Amino acid sequence: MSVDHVKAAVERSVPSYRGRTGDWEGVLERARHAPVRRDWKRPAAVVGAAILALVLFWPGDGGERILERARAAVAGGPVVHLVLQSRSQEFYDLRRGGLRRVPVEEELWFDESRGLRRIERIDGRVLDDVLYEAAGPEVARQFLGLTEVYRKALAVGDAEESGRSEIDGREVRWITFRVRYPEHGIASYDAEHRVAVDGETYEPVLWRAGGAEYRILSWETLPRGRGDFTAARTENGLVQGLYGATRVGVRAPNEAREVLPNAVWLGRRFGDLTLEPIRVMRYETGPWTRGGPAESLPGLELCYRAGESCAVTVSQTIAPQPMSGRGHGWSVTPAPGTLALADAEGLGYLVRDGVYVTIQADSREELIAAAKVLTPIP
Amino acid sequence: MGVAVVWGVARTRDELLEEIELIYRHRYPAFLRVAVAITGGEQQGADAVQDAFVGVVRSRRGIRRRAALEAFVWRAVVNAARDRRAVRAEAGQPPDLIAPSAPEPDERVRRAIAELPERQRLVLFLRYFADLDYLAIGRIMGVRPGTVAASVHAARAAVKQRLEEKEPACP
Repeated sequence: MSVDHVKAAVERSVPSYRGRTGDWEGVLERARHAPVRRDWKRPAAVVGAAILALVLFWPGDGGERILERARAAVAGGPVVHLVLQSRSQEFYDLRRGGLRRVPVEEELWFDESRGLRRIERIDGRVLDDVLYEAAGPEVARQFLGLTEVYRKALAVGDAEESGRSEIDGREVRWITFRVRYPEHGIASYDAEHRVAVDGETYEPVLWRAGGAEYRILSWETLPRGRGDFTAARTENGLVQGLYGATRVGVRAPNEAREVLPNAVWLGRRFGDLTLEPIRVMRYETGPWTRGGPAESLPGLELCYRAGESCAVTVSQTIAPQPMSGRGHGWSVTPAPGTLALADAEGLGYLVRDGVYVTIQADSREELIAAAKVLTPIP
Repeated sequence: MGVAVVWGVARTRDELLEEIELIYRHRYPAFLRVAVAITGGEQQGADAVQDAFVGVVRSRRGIRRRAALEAFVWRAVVNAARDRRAVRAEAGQPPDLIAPSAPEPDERVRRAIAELPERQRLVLFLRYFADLDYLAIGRIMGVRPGTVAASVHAARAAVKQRLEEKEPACP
């Protein structure tokens, strides 16, 4: 009973429904006539702002110093500067071998009048540095309006100290509290957060929520006009493009380079797997992306088949967005010769000769083996 | 996960609506397949997908980045399907018979999958029907990717063990 056997059996148990299109108009019709029960006066709160809110309004028992700092910051015009270590990314060195896990650092500058600047770094390398200008008022409401949510949480006894422990030799006190957003009627926003505060200074050290863990490297508030809001690029607050992947044809390997000149493959065979005819893909954004026309990028998908399913799939295109926006969850573009590994087993991402490639395999070992033999299609 | 959890960026209702529509149109077969697998009935599955998207469209102002949107939608579909199944069970209605996509050569395999704990079945459905990675499944189920990986492993192991058990002898 192999993994493939189980996978194939699961696949067989329910029809694929390929070609079904659903009834989008029906969704809209029902949504239009369904009663709207929410009052949107208060903006949706963002869980991450919990850190700020907690720090700003956490009461008593040693937290007075933080409260004083918070009051001063609010009174003087709050410019917030926060540095978080949000997650880590694992890399495999394809030349020398060896795995390395590197933390990803996020630095945030916020000023209601200037917007929010976000700098993402890994290994000291800046991955992205963007100022969201038009997002200012909305983010402001989220940063500042959230405080009421937490005041309520504290008022109804939803917060409690939940023990002590040690983080990197530093004594911390854990505080657990419920975050409720009943006005939104979204159950998933009703969540338990845990924050570790330094046992002596009461400054937050670690925050856990929704399965994520954020190390708080630094936090400060500055007077109005202060702070560094000079970013490498600016955006008007719209989200990144959403890429749909559409198969538009198939090609023989010798024709694939007409689609992507630097296309890569694992050869006609990879171990006991056989390459199917190469799928030609179009990765497309919607017309709303950044207010401009739809983008359409060429791509290829190589399926190395074993039995009924693709045991290894190599997807590639000429820009990072489609590869990083396909549910893989990473925003990190790996350095040349390096394979970024997702936490999910068998999923990796690399860049080679200007081609952005993701590889999905059944295991991490198979993924690394595939990445090592990746070569240009002759 | 990145900044999606740390802060939100303003978007208009129409932009969100268009994104939701694209996800619906692009991924409908996968949504339907997972919903059918959970509810045990094709019509119930289709209804659950509609229920979920109606809810998502109505509550879209509470959604922020695209990265979170897809997980949010999937979570809505899974929850709607569970609700539909619960309603059916309360009413004492058995699930419909789903025509499998292909004949199952080993009926024990199908039975072993059907008898898995719900969480293990769900991760298999999301993994294989929706082609989601462990990170995405973790977001949908509110657990860490490692927990998803462990559930997949446990599901595979359970199926394997079930199949290696000897069939009970007839009395």
